[in-house]
Amino acid sequence: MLRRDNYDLIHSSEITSEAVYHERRALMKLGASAALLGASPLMAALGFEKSKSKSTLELTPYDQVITYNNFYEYGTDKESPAKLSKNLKTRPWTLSVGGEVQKGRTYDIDELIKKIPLEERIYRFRCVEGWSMVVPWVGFSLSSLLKAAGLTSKSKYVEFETLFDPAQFPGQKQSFGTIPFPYREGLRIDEAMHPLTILAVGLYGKELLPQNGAPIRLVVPWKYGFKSIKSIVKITLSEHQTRSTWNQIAPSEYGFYANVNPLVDHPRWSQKRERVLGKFFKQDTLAFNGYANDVAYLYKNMDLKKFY
Amino acid sequence: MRIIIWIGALLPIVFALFRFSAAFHPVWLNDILLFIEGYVHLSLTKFPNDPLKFLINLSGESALWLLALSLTITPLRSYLKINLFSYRRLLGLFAFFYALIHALLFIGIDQQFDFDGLIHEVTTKPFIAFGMGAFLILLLMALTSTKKLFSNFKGWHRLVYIAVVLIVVHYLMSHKTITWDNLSTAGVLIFLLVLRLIKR
Repeated sequence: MLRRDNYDLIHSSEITSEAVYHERRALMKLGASAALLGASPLMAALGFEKSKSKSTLELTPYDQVITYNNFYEYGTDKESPAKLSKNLKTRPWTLSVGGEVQKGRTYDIDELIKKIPLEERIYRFRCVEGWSMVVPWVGFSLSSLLKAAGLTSKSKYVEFETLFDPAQFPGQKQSFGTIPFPYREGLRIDEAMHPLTILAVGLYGKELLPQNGAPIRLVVPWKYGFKSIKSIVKITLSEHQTRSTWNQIAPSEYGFYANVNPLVDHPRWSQKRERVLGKFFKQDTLAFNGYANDVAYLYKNMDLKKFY
Repeated sequence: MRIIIWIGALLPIVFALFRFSAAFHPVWLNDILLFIEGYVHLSLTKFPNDPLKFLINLSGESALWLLALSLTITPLRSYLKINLFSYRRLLGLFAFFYALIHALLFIGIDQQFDFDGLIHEVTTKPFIAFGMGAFLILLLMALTSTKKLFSNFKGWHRLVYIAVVLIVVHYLMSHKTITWDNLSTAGVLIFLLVLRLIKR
């Protein structure tokens, strides 16, 4: 299950101790038997390595994480995604990796989840609208997937694309009042290869629900939430800066980089403080959403007021 | 009629109390609310995920709709010969009441009474400036709405037309994308404004 096979992914022993490996196997069996016993497949438990870092972050309750979502594929309000997404068909699901890589390929999502060791990452999540939460994601580093595809000197940017299927995404049927579909996001290659950047397949130890971007989504914790694209079907490496849906609609409001920055206001609201979900009073927003020590070097010669 | 206006105008507060007391609802009340939820597109049984934004939106939209109602009084008389003139002031004051809550939530909680920050917001962001401008007009109208003062300040109350325009723009700007819902709400306000302007 965790053998290297013909994939060139990071070997599990490089990051996972044997004890944890066996624990994970036991967990996966548990998840499988739960599914057999009739538990909802959407709630299937995932096998993963628990976060070891002593996080002082207070987790946002599961109920809030799954009922307050921006997912315009279902509608422009926060409640529609949870209500309208129950029937999203997340299996079979394929994710293709292509473009400027040595060997592009298409993964079956279950195959992928089985091959790559999953781990928990507790991250702050800050929306450009001024609210935030703390989510225990389950996923793996995007870099392992990109390395497997083999980067070339032309792999300079990465573009992600959400499933386009108006039959399943009612919001995609509308043309007025929403955004152009399919939704696309992009990262510079060094941002994509950064160890904090993950592809998440679960949260709170369970498989992602559709409103949170099932079956697989991006999470880039130092950027505004809209960069963390959901329900991805396609990853394309490119030599040129990629498309970014919100940036294309309103370039003066949403930058390509979209790094969380309390010093650069949105034209309509301040980014200095944020509303933590469930809390009435605001708290200060941190530079790079609190990950400045890890990522600030990526932008050291850039004017962040210009490249917002 | 006066009682109906009072009950209607206080509904948003009742709604907010239901949402904020969600954790303390007895089972029977929750059952009733869940039943109602099945028929109206409203969440009644859950503590708001983003409570500050919930209150800011609720107070803002309540002010907007009450102001719209107060603007129907004159056209109702001139076009349909329905005279509800004696309730216009009450509706206007309720609109101001919610606008005041809306502004206080923004100044006190959102901006934490940081007045330098507030000045920065008003001077750099048209979205905030339009809202603040509309609020100041409603404030002036509320303060001069007593019988004694109104006779002197009657002309000033025409500023409400400017306030409506500011509110429409502010309302549309408060959304990330403009939907039919937002446009129809804005359309209602503009329609009422035009009705007032074409026939005095």
